[in-house]
Amino acid sequence: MRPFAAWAHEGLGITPKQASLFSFCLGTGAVVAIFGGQVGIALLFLVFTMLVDGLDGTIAREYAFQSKNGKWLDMGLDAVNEIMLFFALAFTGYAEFKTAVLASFAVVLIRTIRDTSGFDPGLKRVVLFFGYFTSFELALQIIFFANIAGFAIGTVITDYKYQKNIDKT
Amino acid sequence: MSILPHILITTAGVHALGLEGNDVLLAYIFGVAQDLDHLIKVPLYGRKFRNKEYAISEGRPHIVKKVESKEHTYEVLGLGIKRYYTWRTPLQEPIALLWVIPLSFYVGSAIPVVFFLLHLFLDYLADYPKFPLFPFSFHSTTGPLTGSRIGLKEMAINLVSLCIIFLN
Repeated sequence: MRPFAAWAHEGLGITPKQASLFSFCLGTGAVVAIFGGQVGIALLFLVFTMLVDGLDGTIAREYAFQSKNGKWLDMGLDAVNEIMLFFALAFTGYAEFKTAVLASFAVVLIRTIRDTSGFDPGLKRVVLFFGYFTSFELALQIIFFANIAGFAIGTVITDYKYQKNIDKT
Repeated sequence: MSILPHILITTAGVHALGLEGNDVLLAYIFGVAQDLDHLIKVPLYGRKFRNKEYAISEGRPHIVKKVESKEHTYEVLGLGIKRYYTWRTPLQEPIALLWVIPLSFYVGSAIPVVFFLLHLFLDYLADYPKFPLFPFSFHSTTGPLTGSRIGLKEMAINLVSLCIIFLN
Protein backbone atom coordinates (compact mmCIF):
# COMPACT_ATOMS: atom_id res chain seq x y z
CA MET A 1 0.00 0.00 0.00
CA ARG A 2 2.94 2.36 0.71
CA PRO A 3 4.16 2.74 -2.91
CA PHE A 4 0.55 3.26 -3.99
CA ALA A 5 0.08 5.88 -1.25
CA ALA A 6 3.35 7.59 -2.22
CA TRP A 7 2.28 7.72 -5.85
CA ALA A 8 -1.19 9.04 -4.93
CA HIS A 9 0.11 11.71 -2.56
CA GLU A 10 3.38 12.80 -4.19
CA GLY A 11 2.34 12.21 -7.77
CA LEU A 12 -1.32 13.22 -7.72
CA GLY A 13 -1.35 15.39 -4.61
CA ILE A 14 -4.17 13.44 -2.98
CA THR A 15 -4.76 14.17 0.70
CA PRO A 16 -6.23 11.65 3.17
CA LYS A 17 -9.57 13.50 3.24
CA GLN A 18 -9.78 13.47 -0.54
CA ALA A 19 -9.01 9.75 -0.50
CA SER A 20 -11.82 9.18 2.03
CA LEU A 21 -14.27 11.13 -0.12
CA PHE A 22 -13.14 9.37 -3.30
CA SER A 23 -13.55 6.01 -1.56
CA PHE A 24 -17.06 7.02 -0.54
CA CYS A 25 -17.90 8.01 -4.13
CA LEU A 26 -16.69 4.62 -5.38
CA GLY A 27 -18.78 2.94 -2.68
CA THR A 28 -21.78 4.94 -3.84
CA GLY A 29 -21.04 3.66 -7.33
CA ALA A 30 -21.36 0.14 -5.93
CA VAL A 31 -24.73 1.06 -4.45
CA VAL A 32 -25.94 2.46 -7.78
CA ALA A 33 -24.74 -0.70 -9.55
CA ILE A 34 -26.74 -2.87 -7.12
CA PHE A 35 -29.86 -0.83 -7.85
CA GLY A 36 -29.11 -1.30 -11.53
CA GLY A 37 -29.06 -5.06 -11.04
CA GLN A 38 -25.31 -5.28 -11.75
CA VAL A 39 -24.07 -6.95 -8.59
CA GLY A 40 -20.84 -8.14 -10.22
CA ILE A 41 -19.96 -4.58 -11.21
CA ALA A 42 -20.94 -3.43 -7.73
CA LEU A 43 -18.37 -5.78 -6.26
CA LEU A 44 -15.77 -4.46 -8.67
CA PHE A 45 -16.54 -0.96 -7.39
CA LEU A 46 -16.20 -2.36 -3.91
CA VAL A 47 -12.69 -3.65 -4.62
CA PHE A 48 -11.60 -0.14 -5.63
CA THR A 49 -13.51 1.36 -2.70
CA MET A 50 -11.56 -0.78 -0.27
CA LEU A 51 -8.25 -0.09 -1.98
CA VAL A 52 -8.76 3.66 -1.83
CA ASP A 53 -10.12 3.34 1.70
CA GLY A 54 -6.81 1.82 2.79
CA LEU A 55 -5.04 4.69 1.07
CA ASP A 56 -6.30 7.51 3.30
CA GLY A 57 -4.94 5.97 6.48
CA THR A 58 -1.62 5.14 4.87
CA ILE A 59 -1.17 8.67 3.48
CA ALA A 60 -2.15 10.13 6.86
CA ARG A 61 0.38 7.97 8.71
CA GLU A 62 3.22 8.31 6.21
CA TYR A 63 2.92 12.05 5.75
CA ALA A 64 1.86 13.03 9.28
CA PHE A 65 -1.66 14.08 8.32
CA GLN A 66 -3.30 12.21 11.18
CA SER A 67 -6.12 14.13 12.79
CA LYS A 68 -9.20 13.38 14.83
CA ASN A 69 -11.45 14.96 12.23
CA GLY A 70 -9.90 12.92 9.44
CA LYS A 71 -10.36 9.76 11.44
CA TRP A 72 -14.02 10.57 12.12
CA LEU A 73 -14.59 11.45 8.50
CA ASP A 74 -13.10 8.16 7.35
CA MET A 75 -15.01 6.16 9.95
CA GLY A 76 -18.30 7.96 9.31
CA LEU A 77 -18.12 7.67 5.53
CA ASP A 78 -17.21 3.98 5.76
CA ALA A 79 -20.18 3.30 8.02
CA VAL A 80 -22.59 5.27 5.81
CA ASN A 81 -21.32 3.44 2.75
CA GLU A 82 -21.74 0.04 4.40
CA ILE A 83 -25.28 0.90 5.49
CA MET A 84 -26.12 2.08 1.97
CA LEU A 85 -24.81 -1.19 0.55
CA PHE A 86 -26.80 -3.31 3.02
CA PHE A 87 -30.01 -1.43 2.30
CA ALA A 88 -29.41 -1.53 -1.44
CA LEU A 89 -29.21 -5.32 -1.16
CA ALA A 90 -32.42 -5.34 0.88
CA PHE A 91 -34.27 -3.04 -1.56
CA THR A 92 -33.30 -5.18 -4.52
CA GLY A 93 -34.44 -8.38 -2.79
CA TYR A 94 -31.01 -9.93 -2.17
CA ALA A 95 -31.48 -9.77 1.59
CA GLU A 96 -34.17 -9.20 4.18
CA PHE A 97 -34.74 -5.72 5.57
CA LYS A 98 -34.51 -6.99 9.13
CA THR A 99 -31.04 -8.41 8.45
CA ALA A 100 -29.94 -5.18 6.75
CA VAL A 101 -31.06 -3.13 9.77
CA LEU A 102 -29.33 -5.48 12.21
CA ALA A 103 -26.11 -5.58 10.17
CA SER A 104 -26.14 -1.77 9.91
CA PHE A 105 -26.59 -1.41 13.66
CA ALA A 106 -23.77 -3.88 14.30
CA VAL A 107 -21.23 -2.12 12.06
CA VAL A 108 -21.95 1.19 13.80
CA LEU A 109 -21.78 -0.42 17.24
CA ILE A 110 -18.38 -2.04 16.70
CA ARG A 111 -16.94 1.35 15.76
CA THR A 112 -17.90 2.79 19.14
CA ILE A 113 -15.61 0.39 21.00
CA ARG A 114 -12.77 -0.61 18.67
CA ASP A 115 -10.50 2.29 19.56
CA THR A 116 -10.58 1.57 23.29
CA SER A 117 -10.53 -2.21 22.98
CA GLY A 118 -8.22 -2.43 19.97
CA PHE A 119 -10.45 -5.23 18.70
CA ASP A 120 -12.38 -5.34 15.44
CA PRO A 121 -13.17 -8.60 13.65
CA GLY A 122 -12.92 -6.68 10.35
CA LEU A 123 -15.85 -8.54 8.84
CA LYS A 124 -17.86 -5.86 7.13
CA ARG A 125 -17.96 -5.03 3.40
CA VAL A 126 -15.43 -7.74 2.61
CA VAL A 127 -18.00 -10.42 3.52
CA LEU A 128 -20.15 -9.26 0.59
CA PHE A 129 -17.69 -10.97 -1.78
CA PHE A 130 -18.47 -14.22 0.01
CA GLY A 131 -22.15 -13.36 -0.31
CA TYR A 132 -21.83 -13.13 -4.09
CA PHE A 133 -20.96 -16.83 -4.24
CA THR A 134 -23.36 -17.97 -1.50
CA SER A 135 -26.12 -15.52 -0.59
CA PHE A 136 -26.13 -11.89 0.45
CA GLU A 137 -28.63 -12.70 3.17
CA LEU A 138 -26.08 -15.07 4.72
CA ALA A 139 -23.34 -12.46 4.26
CA LEU A 140 -25.35 -9.84 6.16
CA GLN A 141 -26.09 -12.34 8.91
CA ILE A 142 -22.37 -13.04 9.25
CA ILE A 143 -21.66 -9.31 9.35
CA PHE A 144 -24.28 -8.89 12.07
CA PHE A 145 -23.01 -11.75 14.21
CA ALA A 146 -19.32 -10.95 13.81
CA ASN A 147 -19.75 -7.29 14.72
CA ILE A 148 -22.26 -7.74 17.52
CA ALA A 149 -19.95 -10.38 19.04
CA GLY A 150 -17.02 -8.06 18.37
CA PHE A 151 -18.75 -5.34 20.36
CA ALA A 152 -19.47 -7.67 23.31
CA ILE A 153 -15.87 -8.94 23.29
CA GLY A 154 -14.62 -5.37 22.92
CA THR A 155 -16.41 -4.26 26.08
CA VAL A 156 -14.83 -7.15 27.99
CA ILE A 157 -11.35 -6.39 26.64
CA THR A 158 -11.74 -2.75 27.63
CA ASP A 159 -12.92 -3.74 31.10
CA TYR A 160 -10.01 -6.17 31.50
CA LYS A 161 -7.49 -3.52 30.48
CA TYR A 162 -9.07 -1.02 32.84
CA GLN A 163 -9.09 -3.48 35.75
CA LYS A 164 -5.47 -4.40 35.07
CA ASN A 165 -4.50 -0.74 35.29
CA ILE A 166 -6.41 -0.29 38.54
CA ASP A 167 -4.73 -3.33 40.04
CA LYS A 168 -1.30 -1.95 39.16
CA THR A 169 -1.86 1.19 41.18
CA MET B 1 -25.70 -12.27 43.81
CA SER B 2 -24.76 -15.92 44.14
CA ILE B 3 -25.53 -18.44 41.43
CA LEU B 4 -28.36 -20.33 43.18
CA PRO B 5 -30.98 -17.53 43.02
CA HIS B 6 -30.11 -17.05 39.34
CA ILE B 7 -30.66 -20.74 38.61
CA LEU B 8 -33.88 -20.88 40.60
CA ILE B 9 -35.44 -17.72 39.20
CA THR B 10 -34.52 -18.76 35.64
CA THR B 11 -36.05 -22.18 36.24
CA ALA B 12 -39.14 -20.48 37.68
CA GLY B 13 -39.32 -18.27 34.57
CA VAL B 14 -38.99 -21.28 32.28
CA HIS B 15 -41.84 -23.03 34.16
CA ALA B 16 -44.05 -19.96 34.35
CA LEU B 17 -43.72 -19.19 30.64
CA GLY B 18 -43.99 -22.86 29.67
CA LEU B 19 -40.82 -22.72 27.57
CA GLU B 20 -39.58 -25.70 25.58
CA GLY B 21 -36.64 -26.72 23.37
CA ASN B 22 -34.29 -23.97 22.22
CA ASP B 23 -36.17 -21.38 24.28
CA VAL B 24 -35.08 -23.14 27.46
CA LEU B 25 -31.48 -23.06 26.27
CA LEU B 26 -31.75 -19.33 25.52
CA ALA B 27 -33.31 -18.71 28.93
CA TYR B 28 -30.43 -20.42 30.75
CA ILE B 29 -27.77 -18.77 28.58
CA PHE B 30 -29.06 -15.28 29.31
CA GLY B 31 -30.34 -16.00 32.83
CA VAL B 32 -27.50 -18.03 34.31
CA ALA B 33 -24.55 -18.52 31.94
CA GLN B 34 -23.93 -14.76 31.92
CA ASP B 35 -22.17 -15.34 35.22
CA LEU B 36 -19.39 -17.29 33.51
CA ASP B 37 -17.88 -13.92 32.68
CA HIS B 38 -16.52 -13.82 36.23
CA LEU B 39 -13.94 -16.37 35.11
CA ILE B 40 -12.37 -13.70 32.90
CA LYS B 41 -11.27 -11.80 35.99
CA VAL B 42 -9.73 -14.81 37.73
CA PRO B 43 -6.19 -14.27 36.39
CA LEU B 44 -6.24 -10.64 37.54
CA TYR B 45 -7.76 -11.54 40.89
CA GLY B 46 -5.21 -14.25 41.50
CA ARG B 47 -2.31 -11.98 40.66
CA LYS B 48 -3.62 -9.26 42.91
CA PHE B 49 -4.46 -11.24 46.00
CA ARG B 50 -1.55 -13.64 45.96
CA ASN B 51 0.49 -10.70 47.10
CA LYS B 52 0.70 -10.48 50.87
CA GLU B 53 2.42 -7.11 50.72
CA TYR B 54 -0.53 -5.77 48.83
CA ALA B 55 -2.88 -6.55 51.71
CA ILE B 56 -0.54 -4.82 54.15
CA SER B 57 -0.21 -1.77 51.94
CA GLU B 58 -3.99 -1.66 51.63
CA GLY B 59 -4.12 -1.08 55.38
CA ARG B 60 -6.11 -4.20 56.22
CA PRO B 61 -4.06 -5.79 58.98
CA HIS B 62 -6.92 -8.09 59.95
CA ILE B 63 -6.48 -9.87 56.64
CA VAL B 64 -2.82 -10.39 57.23
CA LYS B 65 -3.64 -11.70 60.68
CA LYS B 66 -5.97 -14.22 59.16
CA VAL B 67 -3.23 -15.23 56.78
CA GLU B 68 -0.92 -16.04 59.63
CA SER B 69 -3.51 -18.19 61.32
CA LYS B 70 -4.43 -20.25 58.27
CA GLU B 71 -2.58 -22.63 56.05
CA HIS B 72 -3.80 -21.35 52.70
CA THR B 73 -2.42 -17.88 52.49
CA TYR B 74 -3.70 -17.14 49.01
CA GLU B 75 -7.30 -18.00 49.71
CA VAL B 76 -7.53 -16.16 52.95
CA LEU B 77 -6.12 -13.03 51.43
CA GLY B 78 -8.58 -13.36 48.60
CA LEU B 79 -11.55 -13.77 50.86
CA GLY B 80 -10.50 -10.76 52.87
CA ILE B 81 -10.69 -8.28 50.03
CA LYS B 82 -12.96 -10.18 47.67
CA ARG B 83 -15.91 -8.05 48.61
CA TYR B 84 -14.25 -5.01 47.09
CA TYR B 85 -13.14 -6.66 43.89
CA THR B 86 -15.02 -5.95 40.67
CA TRP B 87 -15.80 -9.39 39.35
CA ARG B 88 -18.38 -8.19 36.91
CA THR B 89 -17.70 -7.46 33.27
CA PRO B 90 -19.85 -5.36 30.89
CA LEU B 91 -21.38 -8.64 29.68
CA GLN B 92 -23.82 -8.48 32.57
CA GLU B 93 -24.34 -4.77 32.85
CA PRO B 94 -27.18 -2.79 31.23
CA ILE B 95 -24.76 -1.75 28.47
CA ALA B 96 -25.00 -5.33 27.20
CA LEU B 97 -28.57 -4.59 26.14
CA LEU B 98 -26.94 -2.97 23.10
CA TRP B 99 -26.15 -6.44 21.81
CA VAL B 100 -28.77 -8.51 23.63
CA ILE B 101 -31.72 -6.58 22.12
CA PRO B 102 -30.51 -6.91 18.48
CA LEU B 103 -29.83 -10.58 19.14
CA SER B 104 -33.39 -10.96 20.41
CA PHE B 105 -34.67 -9.35 17.22
CA TYR B 106 -32.54 -11.71 15.19
CA VAL B 107 -33.82 -14.86 16.89
CA GLY B 108 -37.33 -13.39 16.83
CA SER B 109 -37.91 -13.97 20.50
CA ALA B 110 -37.99 -11.77 23.60
CA ILE B 111 -36.52 -14.54 25.75
CA PRO B 112 -32.88 -13.31 25.69
CA VAL B 113 -33.95 -9.82 26.78
CA VAL B 114 -36.41 -11.03 29.41
CA PHE B 115 -34.00 -13.45 31.08
CA PHE B 116 -31.10 -11.06 30.78
CA LEU B 117 -33.18 -8.39 32.56
CA LEU B 118 -34.10 -10.94 35.22
CA HIS B 119 -30.41 -11.64 35.77
CA LEU B 120 -29.70 -7.93 35.91
CA PHE B 121 -32.52 -7.36 38.39
CA LEU B 122 -31.09 -9.89 40.84
CA ASP B 123 -27.57 -8.52 40.51
CA TYR B 124 -28.77 -4.99 41.18
CA LEU B 125 -30.32 -6.16 44.44
CA ALA B 126 -26.84 -6.90 45.74
CA ASP B 127 -24.82 -4.09 47.25
CA TYR B 128 -21.50 -4.41 45.43
CA PRO B 129 -20.48 -1.62 43.05
CA LYS B 130 -21.64 -1.82 39.45
CA PHE B 131 -20.71 0.11 36.33
CA PRO B 132 -23.92 0.07 34.27
CA LEU B 133 -22.59 2.00 31.28
CA PHE B 134 -18.92 1.06 31.23
CA PRO B 135 -16.90 1.52 28.96
CA PHE B 136 -18.90 4.56 27.81
CA SER B 137 -19.24 5.99 31.31
CA PHE B 138 -17.47 5.41 34.60
CA HIS B 139 -20.66 6.07 36.52
CA SER B 140 -20.86 3.64 39.43
CA THR B 141 -23.86 2.57 41.49
CA THR B 142 -24.66 0.00 44.13
CA GLY B 143 -28.22 -0.37 42.90
CA PRO B 144 -31.58 0.78 44.21
CA LEU B 145 -32.37 -1.81 46.91
CA THR B 146 -29.27 -2.13 49.00
CA GLY B 147 -30.84 -1.42 52.36
CA SER B 148 -31.53 -4.94 53.57
CA ARG B 149 -29.18 -7.88 53.91
CA ILE B 150 -28.26 -9.75 50.75
CA GLY B 151 -28.70 -13.15 52.43
CA LEU B 152 -32.27 -12.27 53.29
CA LYS B 153 -33.01 -11.14 49.75
CA GLU B 154 -31.50 -14.30 48.30
CA MET B 155 -33.58 -16.41 50.62
CA ALA B 156 -36.77 -14.57 49.62
CA ILE B 157 -35.98 -14.96 45.91
CA ASN B 158 -35.20 -18.65 46.34
CA LEU B 159 -38.47 -19.17 48.20
CA VAL B 160 -40.59 -17.32 45.63
CA SER B 161 -38.84 -19.14 42.78
CA LEU B 162 -39.42 -22.54 44.38
CA CYS B 163 -43.10 -21.70 44.89
CA ILE B 164 -43.44 -20.79 41.20
CA ILE B 165 -41.63 -23.95 40.13
CA PHE B 166 -43.79 -26.26 42.23
CA LEU B 167 -47.04 -24.47 41.47
CA ASN B 168 -46.56 -24.78 37.68
